[in-house]
Amino acid sequence: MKNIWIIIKYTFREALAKKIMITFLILSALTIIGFGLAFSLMGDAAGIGSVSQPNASTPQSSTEIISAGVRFLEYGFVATLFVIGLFLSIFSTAGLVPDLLKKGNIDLFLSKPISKFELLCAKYLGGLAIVFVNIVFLVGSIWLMVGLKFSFWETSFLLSIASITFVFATLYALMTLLGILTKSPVLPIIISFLIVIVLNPLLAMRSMLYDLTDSSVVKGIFETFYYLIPQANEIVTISQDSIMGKADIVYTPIYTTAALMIVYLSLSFFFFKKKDF
Amino acid sequence: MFAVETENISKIYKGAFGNKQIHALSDMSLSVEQGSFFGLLGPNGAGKTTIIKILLGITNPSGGSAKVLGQDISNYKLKKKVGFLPENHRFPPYLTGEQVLKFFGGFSDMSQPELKKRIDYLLDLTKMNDRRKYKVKTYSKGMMQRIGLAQAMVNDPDLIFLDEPTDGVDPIGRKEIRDMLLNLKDQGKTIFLNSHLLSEVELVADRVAIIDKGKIIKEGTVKELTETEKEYKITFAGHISDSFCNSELTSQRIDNIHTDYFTLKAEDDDRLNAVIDAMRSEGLLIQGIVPIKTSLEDSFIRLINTKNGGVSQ
Repeated sequence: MKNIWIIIKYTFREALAKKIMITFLILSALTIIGFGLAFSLMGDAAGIGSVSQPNASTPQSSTEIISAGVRFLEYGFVATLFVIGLFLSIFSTAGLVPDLLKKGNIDLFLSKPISKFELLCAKYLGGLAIVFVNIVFLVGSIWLMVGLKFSFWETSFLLSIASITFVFATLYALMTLLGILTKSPVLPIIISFLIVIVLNPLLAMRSMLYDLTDSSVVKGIFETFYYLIPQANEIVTISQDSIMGKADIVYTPIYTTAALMIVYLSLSFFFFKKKDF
Repeated sequence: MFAVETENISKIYKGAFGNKQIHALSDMSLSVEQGSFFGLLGPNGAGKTTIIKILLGITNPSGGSAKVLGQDISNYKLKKKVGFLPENHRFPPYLTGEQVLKFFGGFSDMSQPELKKRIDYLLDLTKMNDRRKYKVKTYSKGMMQRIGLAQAMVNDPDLIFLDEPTDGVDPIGRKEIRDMLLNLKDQGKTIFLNSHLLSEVELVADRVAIIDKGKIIKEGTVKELTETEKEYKITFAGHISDSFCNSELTSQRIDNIHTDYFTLKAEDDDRLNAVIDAMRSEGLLIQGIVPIKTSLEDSFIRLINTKNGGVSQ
């Protein structure tokens, strides 16, 4: 554990020295300012609450209306924060593993009494911890702003810290695997963005695409891809549903994504152990 | 117990599709005694760095077995008592020299006060004390090597692997590093040195192995490796006749015949004296007899050339 802790601390220091942390924080701060400006233009939560439930059949108390308004707002924020959070996280951590593997650097680490498993594990956790701190700052600040503006504190919104970090953890596991295989941050960045920008939205509406074709091959390809990449869209939906207090939430995407993360990490450890430096 | 022991270690690097194979090491067996100073010599690409990397678990062997400090190399914990200075090391540029030592020393079993004391000692030893608070990115090549050496010693290792430790260091710095290494040897540490600078290895190593194309082609003490037939440069005045040169005594022994000198290979002092007597009988005036010393570099070049089918010099 001591070795893992040393590397995690070192990864933080690396992120600070390479201005990764500060860039992440500045971009997060800009996002928060953007949200703040948007809030200043908004009416009160009661108004938003009425808009969000135009067909409410039963008369509601003002607290219920404010609660509905805040939930509606935060429902909308989750998807935006997911995209912004993942973008920033991918950029800030893509270089961590490839940099570790650079000649002259990896030799120094592997000549110490630390196993390859511990080293990679620590580097992975270090990257994850950097992202977690920044996501806490980003989501926490928005939550504070919403709470202060509307005097309503919807704690389920904070679950998106966990869900964004979780989706990133899976993407980061894939980035780690690709980083080990290519020793470069380029492919991990390209693949991660491809997943977040193209594949996730496309595969989320694959049932609509199936209406356009009968080809079992096309369906097979889509289904395979669906289970080979983190199901970010579905996890966003789970976060949104929990904010809205939905009762019948299906958690399967979380399990399949967690399984995928384990597979990516196992493959990363396998290739890292086999690789010659 | 040997500090390093390898048995038929081999390493084959395969191309991306497994079609191209490079035999970096072929059945290499060597042993390094504890407390000794071992030098590994070889041309570029001979496999010197590969063997160190295998011994440290940085590269996986394709075959064979190896032990370091009596333990199988698969046990990474053995590195608690091992130090390593890689060639072209890259310390985090944003750390100071002192932070580098603190960071890498953190992996040892030392307590914080012990480590602090050790770092102070090493910064003094490597004459880096006045630069301890400077970031390593501001260091010259020589300073990088010094701090690298301190890093290799930070855990107070029993065995130190050094890959080209004096690379880029000026002659005074090289001498200081050499003295440091000899001091470590005096403390009973085992030193495994890879170097291109043969003259340097000659000065410090107890035993030397010369490798080429992944194979050890000669191993022994520096004396054993440089010992050849006794050879002399004999300068003279007078005319040297063909009959003298082609006589039974001299025809196979003299070489490089010039008007004022030739070289003589004599198996023993009797033969040398016999040739001198013959020269006097010829009426030649002997002006000088100088033994020709073979350096490790000469032996190295001769061995590599011989192995590659070139002319032995």
